[in-house]
Amino acid sequence: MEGVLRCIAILSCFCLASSTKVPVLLWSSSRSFADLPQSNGGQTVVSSDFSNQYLKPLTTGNNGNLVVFVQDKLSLQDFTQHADVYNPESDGGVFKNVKGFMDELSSLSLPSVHLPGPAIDDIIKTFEGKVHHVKDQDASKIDFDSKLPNLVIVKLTSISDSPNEEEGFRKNDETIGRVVKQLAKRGVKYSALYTATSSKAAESNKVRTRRGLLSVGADNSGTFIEYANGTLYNSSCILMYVRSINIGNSTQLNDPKSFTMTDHSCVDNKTASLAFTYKNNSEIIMTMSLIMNVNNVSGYWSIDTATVNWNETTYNVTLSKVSAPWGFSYHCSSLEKLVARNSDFTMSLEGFQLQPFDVMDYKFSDGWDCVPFFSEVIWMGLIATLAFVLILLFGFSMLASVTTQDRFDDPKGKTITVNVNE
Amino acid sequence: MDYQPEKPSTKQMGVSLFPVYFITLMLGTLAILIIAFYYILTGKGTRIDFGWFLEQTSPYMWASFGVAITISFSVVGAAWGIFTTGASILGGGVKAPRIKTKNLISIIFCEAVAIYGIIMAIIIGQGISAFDAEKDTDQIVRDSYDAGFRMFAAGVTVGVSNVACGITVGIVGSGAALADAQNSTLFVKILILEIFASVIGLFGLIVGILQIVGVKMGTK
Repeated sequence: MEGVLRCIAILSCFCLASSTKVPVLLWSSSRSFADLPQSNGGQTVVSSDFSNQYLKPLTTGNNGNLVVFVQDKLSLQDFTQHADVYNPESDGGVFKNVKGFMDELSSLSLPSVHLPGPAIDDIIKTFEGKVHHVKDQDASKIDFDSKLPNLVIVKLTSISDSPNEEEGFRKNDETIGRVVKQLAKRGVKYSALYTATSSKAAESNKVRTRRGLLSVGADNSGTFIEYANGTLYNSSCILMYVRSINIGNSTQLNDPKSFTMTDHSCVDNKTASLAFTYKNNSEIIMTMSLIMNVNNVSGYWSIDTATVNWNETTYNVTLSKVSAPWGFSYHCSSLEKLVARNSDFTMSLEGFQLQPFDVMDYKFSDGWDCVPFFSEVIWMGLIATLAFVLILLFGFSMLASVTTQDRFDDPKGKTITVNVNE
Repeated sequence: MDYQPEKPSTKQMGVSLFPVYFITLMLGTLAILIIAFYYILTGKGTRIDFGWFLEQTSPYMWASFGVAITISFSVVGAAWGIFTTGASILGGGVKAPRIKTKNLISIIFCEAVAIYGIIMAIIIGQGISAFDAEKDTDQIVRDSYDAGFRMFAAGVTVGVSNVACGITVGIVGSGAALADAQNSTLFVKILILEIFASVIGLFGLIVGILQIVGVKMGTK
């Protein structure tokens, strides 16, 4: 059972690539770590275990001084990349000082701890002795209380803000070396802990080039822009793209500049609505309003009501087939024969894609297409073809099983000769 | 000098068949696995939809397949039976010409299987008629889809049971002819076996008729 759980943990580490599992390195000049449990391969130490089994013993007792070095990003990949690990005589690459301490002093490494940051914050709050936050990474001015344990927190420079990750790690490593030397010079008995708050860098804030075209306002508004031969309505919670709205047999509304949004709301994760108008030479000729909601039971969202105002009449168009599961966008290359009940109004949407819920990062999610990969006509043809092929194979196998009589063959006997007279 | 090959003979094909079957099976399995895992792992598992397939395919396809399966499978069964029995009767009749007339009964039993098939095919085919999915009432459209499935089922019932019946009657009749050639008192008792064999085809026909009774496709 535990083996299965471990396998699942390994696989989930690969599959989920969680950023909450951070390595923790411990070393100490005065204390052996024999009483702390070793970490097994692939095992992630959960936060509560980390607090109880590792942080508590280090922060209580006589040699309870703990120096915590925290940065924002640390992962095993960083060690593999920057610590010169494939060289048998390496000195640790950019992690020279850390490697030196881990090798020479008594040390313990935990390759994967789940969310060490909050555990450390808890310890800071509940610590009995004195907590020192080191400023400017200079530990020479701390006055240590000799009766109670001391907790020193050194916040290292952020790796994501450094121009170069390697330089960031090197700088932090030098800081660690300097602080530990200062502590050693003052004769303080300490244990040191090196970790980070996350194993992945925070999302970069670079500008996405596609957004250069947009002027998206606050969260409750969006704009129509021209995009890829059609019109895209872009907002943070509703996305809609349409190449052309065809009304009746003749009218085609496909000019991106004529669309204007009049109402947009996505209040919660259950209802969304969008209303827009189409102008022709500054005169409004069509308004359309869509109300979408999510079915609690099936998890599918769909267009609940669609109202179109055309030629001074309001029609309730049935657009109920625009429906997709939560997290998908609906896509249809040609959504035709949309009728309004009790009237002869017909409409069709060409090149239509809509996502009213769960929009992430201004991009459409996977499209739920109105046409399946094999349409039903193709399936019927395939079945008929399969029937024919099976019959053919059956016939072939019967043909192949026709053999000549070889019961009376005698390869060693006399061959029969037949005299053929011309 | 009895040469008895034990595996699919290379004498026939020139190459051992096992790798061919194996590779085809593995390729087929791999293709199906890849397609299935693509749908499941991208969260689109519901798009593999057998209900959609059954709803959307035309009932005419199912009905036509029913008719085709009825007549073709019944004829396959009858033909198999007749050639098995016929070969034996002709062979045995060389030395014992008296068996010819009596053993025609076996051939008639086989032929009856084909007659069941064609009767059923005509009955099923008469039920196919036009319906309009958009303009007819819901009840008529539902009944038409129901009719399509029922015709397919009746066809499969009758067809497959007639195949089995025909083959059985054929092999039993062949044995009967040869036994009759040896000893003419045996034939009458053997006829009882053939009756049992023939009755199973009749079972198929009866169940097929029960399935097809009351189908109503279209408005006529």
